[in-house]
Amino acid sequence: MATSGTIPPATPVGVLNTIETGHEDIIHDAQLDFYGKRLATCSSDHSVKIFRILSDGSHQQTAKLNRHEGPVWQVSWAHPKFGSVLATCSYDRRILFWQEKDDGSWDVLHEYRGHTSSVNSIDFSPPEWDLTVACASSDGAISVVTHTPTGEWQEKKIVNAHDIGCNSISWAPPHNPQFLAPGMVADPAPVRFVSGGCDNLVKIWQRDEMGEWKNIEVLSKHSDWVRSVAWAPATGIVEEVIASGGQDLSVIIWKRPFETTEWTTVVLPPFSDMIWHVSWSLMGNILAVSSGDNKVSLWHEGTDQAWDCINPDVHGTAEPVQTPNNTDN
Amino acid sequence: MSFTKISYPVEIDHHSKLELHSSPNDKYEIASFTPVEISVFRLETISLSDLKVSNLPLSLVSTRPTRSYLIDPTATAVCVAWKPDKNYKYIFAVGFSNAKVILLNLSPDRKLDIPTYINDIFQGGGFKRACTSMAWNPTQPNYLAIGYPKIHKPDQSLRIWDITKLTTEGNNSLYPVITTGHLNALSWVADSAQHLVYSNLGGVGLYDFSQAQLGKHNKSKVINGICTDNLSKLYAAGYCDCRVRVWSLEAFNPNFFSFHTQHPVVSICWSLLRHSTLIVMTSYPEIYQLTLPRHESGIINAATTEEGVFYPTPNGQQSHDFARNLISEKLHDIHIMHPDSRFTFLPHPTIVSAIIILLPSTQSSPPPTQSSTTTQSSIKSKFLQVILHSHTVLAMSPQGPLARASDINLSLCYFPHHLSPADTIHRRIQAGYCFSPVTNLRVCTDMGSMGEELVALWEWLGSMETGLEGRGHGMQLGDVMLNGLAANVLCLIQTNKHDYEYCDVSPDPIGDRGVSPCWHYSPNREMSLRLLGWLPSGIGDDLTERLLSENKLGKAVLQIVISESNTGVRRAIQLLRKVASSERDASIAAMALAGYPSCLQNKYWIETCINQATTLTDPYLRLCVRILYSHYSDLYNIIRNEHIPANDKFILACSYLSDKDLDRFRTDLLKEIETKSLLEGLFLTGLGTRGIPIMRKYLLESGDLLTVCILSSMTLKYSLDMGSLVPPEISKLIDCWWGCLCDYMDRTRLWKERCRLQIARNKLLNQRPPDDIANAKWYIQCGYCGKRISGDDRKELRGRKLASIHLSTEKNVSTSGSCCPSCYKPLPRCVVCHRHMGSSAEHVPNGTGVDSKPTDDWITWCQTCGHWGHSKHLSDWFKENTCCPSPCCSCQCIWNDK
Repeated sequence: MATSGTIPPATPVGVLNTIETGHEDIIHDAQLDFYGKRLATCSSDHSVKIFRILSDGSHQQTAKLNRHEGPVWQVSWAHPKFGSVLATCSYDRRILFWQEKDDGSWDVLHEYRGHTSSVNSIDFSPPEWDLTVACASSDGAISVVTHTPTGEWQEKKIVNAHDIGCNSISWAPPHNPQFLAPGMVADPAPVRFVSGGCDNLVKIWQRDEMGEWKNIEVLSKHSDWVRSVAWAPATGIVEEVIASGGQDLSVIIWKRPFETTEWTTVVLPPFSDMIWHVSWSLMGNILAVSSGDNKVSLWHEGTDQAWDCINPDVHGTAEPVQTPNNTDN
Repeated sequence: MSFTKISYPVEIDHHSKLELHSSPNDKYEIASFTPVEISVFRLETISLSDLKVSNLPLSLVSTRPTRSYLIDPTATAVCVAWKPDKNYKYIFAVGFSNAKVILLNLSPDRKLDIPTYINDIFQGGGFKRACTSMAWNPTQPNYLAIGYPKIHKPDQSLRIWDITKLTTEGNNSLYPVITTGHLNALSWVADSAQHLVYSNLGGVGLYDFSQAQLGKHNKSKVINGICTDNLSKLYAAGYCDCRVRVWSLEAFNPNFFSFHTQHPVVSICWSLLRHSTLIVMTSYPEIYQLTLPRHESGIINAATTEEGVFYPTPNGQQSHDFARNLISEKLHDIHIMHPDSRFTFLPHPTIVSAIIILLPSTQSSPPPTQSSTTTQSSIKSKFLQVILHSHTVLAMSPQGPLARASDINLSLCYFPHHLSPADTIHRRIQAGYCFSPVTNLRVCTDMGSMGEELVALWEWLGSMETGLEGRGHGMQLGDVMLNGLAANVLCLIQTNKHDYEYCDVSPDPIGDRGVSPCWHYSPNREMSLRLLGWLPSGIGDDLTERLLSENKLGKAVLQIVISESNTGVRRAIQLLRKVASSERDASIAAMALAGYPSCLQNKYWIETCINQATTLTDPYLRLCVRILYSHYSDLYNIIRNEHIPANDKFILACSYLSDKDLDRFRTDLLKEIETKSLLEGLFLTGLGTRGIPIMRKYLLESGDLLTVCILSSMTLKYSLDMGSLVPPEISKLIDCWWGCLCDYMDRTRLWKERCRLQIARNKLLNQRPPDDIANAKWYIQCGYCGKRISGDDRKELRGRKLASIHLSTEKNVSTSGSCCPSCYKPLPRCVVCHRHMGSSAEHVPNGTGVDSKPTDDWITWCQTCGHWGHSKHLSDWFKENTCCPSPCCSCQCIWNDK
């Protein structure tokens, strides 16, 4: 086992450590905090657990949060400037905001009961837009709950955002070069998020001047439920990139250069099972996809916009695309 | 929905009866039972090195039994029970059709004192009836319950024995029980020495051992398998043909829950990991999973809403209707492979949604006595691990590792080095990677194999800076840096007539071979060489020595040949000879060069040299030989196709190609640089408008934000120097990159490095910090009355780091320092020295005062708990402690910094 932070050199994507979570049932989500030091997991056993990850990959459990009354689907960490705040959503239709106290215990800061069905997905907005959380529910609605600097909880609900139900939600990054002129307080960055639902659609929502949420784009290419959407973090790449995956066994990468309106799509080679989860690395250069057969594949965009699977041992049907760089061997 | 599976062939022979038992003593062991033999298998745990991010950590079942025992070749064994025992892990009770029961010890360790009862044979109290079912008591492991058929009315069909007190007569059972009929199956209730569930011809009953009487009995059809839930200890289940029945152990009412299956049930088990979850397998095979109301200490933990009570289901959904909690899945693959087989299965010991299926062999194998000669055609039995209804989630972290959760397992994985930019950024910054090309070059070479293009980049950037600084050659550094050589040198590259083709070899030595390489010369070509570091940067700069010290023999040789033409060849040979004895490359190259130019007429020599050159591993040596001996018409492609950085290719082209070809080469190279986004190619495009897209592409491919930020900051610097305006979209982009880098360094907690980098950038761009930070005024105010307590406004503290504020010594606090000068309420104290805010850290007796730093008197506080103290005291405290110094606070302040 690797110790003191050394990374095993030759392992392609090796496992450093396994963690005994003590969860009694399937883990539905795991999220690392802003600094990557703490890991929150949630499970069908109704509990949320928080682990501290040390630099050598070892870990210790620091808390178990037991206030939900159903399977907990997702967790999301707030930016540390708001303190140690976590939000969880559950089958019990509730969203709980948790805050860590000085002694390391966690209190429920706020409870949101605005949905009439299971809340499937939750995501904290970038810190530029206050302590704001967006959540997607099986009742077809999306809620945006904001804790204003004055200490109030504001709730906005988009009813019937997706027919049958919403499955996934992800905020757009705030760094939009279009609006980043130095010393200029021109147009504020648009406040947007993307959602995926049971109507096979991916939708983009934007907040208007009145603070109301408007659907500005509908992306339709999936032929079955969209299970997961993820907006790529901004790393100075002058494109907006969204990944979506669903029950139609496909992962679609939607791209649009700034200041254009047309989305171009790249469909990853077909998977053999439904897609559960897509997520971007922090640098936005790697897309991790987990599918129903419990396999995880990592994708990286090579030259010529071809996407290569960087752990091709797992992905039977998607052979890595040959890039011009490695044809000479 | 499809399922994941791994299968392994195992050595179990075919028999009419096949059972799987999990060990009560070790969750990683399972035993197969046939009327002929018992075999124990082990689930191997997977070592970390074999784990991949891609796969669920399924344990492997050993393909050979770790131990096995031939019970009876005549196959009269009918049932088996594995004894729970911490010391003797492999004791089995085997029941036979002639009412005999044998206690077997399969442990290989002969040294262990085996209990006296082992290998005892006892018979069911005189009745010659076959055992039908056996079970060990989980809390009193010496108690064995055995079920018998009932032939005559007074026959005892259930007996419980204490095996330590067996007598030869075998009629000393503890509790002979008369039940109403032939006993089919029995199962003890977990953690109870007193309760046992049985099924007989008349139905199912709960036997209360403590009162030595029958408990509640439910009449029903014949129930075959009885299985109690050992995890939640709340339910028992049994089956009969296509029907599965569940009883609550508390109420034991007849119709708690039952359901029909499509095919006859072959086996049932309760999950070992998920509470109250029953797994049923039918003959198809088909798997049913039912999750019953969740109990925790006897209370049903279900969500009660206005629409009723909701219960969890195996795949996480919930419903208020038990039937809807039932999910089923047909295993088509197995059906096709093994139609009409009898399967048996066990829940997986570490994965909630996985089961281990034992597929029996499809053909009967020879009798065990001849088993050494196995038939070729028989298909062996197989263990199959099947995962149902599970999915994997991933958590990305800034540092590179990602957490992967699947089922109930969680693991931390690492990205490969080149995909984990945080680690690289971290190490580069710590090594001083910043705005100095020379330092950056050192950092890149020190870090080894990573980024050849970066080495090339910093090499030419460094030589360009030194080459152009303070020299009167009509070229400005900023201009060259921004617009590249393409715009500056190449437009003037046309060689003048009089210095055209500086060449001291006869123009056409061997007729049709064409002109042997000419060294094209013009001041601008020389300037290119100098700017890209292929000529010494000044007097006293021994380029060869430097290259050799960097272990670049090939490049040193080529550099000599290029810069000194024919005399250079001789010097190059001398250089090569020095190392020729130890390096094959060098000796071949030295030999090839030795024939130049004298052997140019010898066709065979030339051919040999060119052939030998292809075997050289050093690309520069290879180029050197090939250029000297090749036809001019081949030179273009030789230079173009060699795997060396673009800047070195360009130098070779500058040295050997004619004006026309050089122009073509430049256009081609530019195209290549731009399409492949070769970072080292920025020398041609410059860091300005043409270079930015290359940086952007490079960033996309490598994630190396740090280098891109440094380069783009240089773009700003040189634009500033030249007084040229950066197009707004580029300046926005550069600011965006910088913002992202800062954010990234915050996440990776490289705060100090970020500060250093920011300061260096401000210096480079001659910028002051933004006004709101530079002019920020910090002062201390009383928490009660809000009045400032640092008395003199002119001494307001400014520009300090957020959590550290300098408090000058006591004299600035107008009162005695223990209370607010306005409201006289007490001021907070340093948590370590207990002196009031505004006091000096020096006054503490422990303070040595020797190594005092200007920051010692600063105050600092924990962002979490808010406790503050003198920075010196707190840093001393946290050298040894992790907890807040305040006795009434349990904040682990140090974790915020770890």
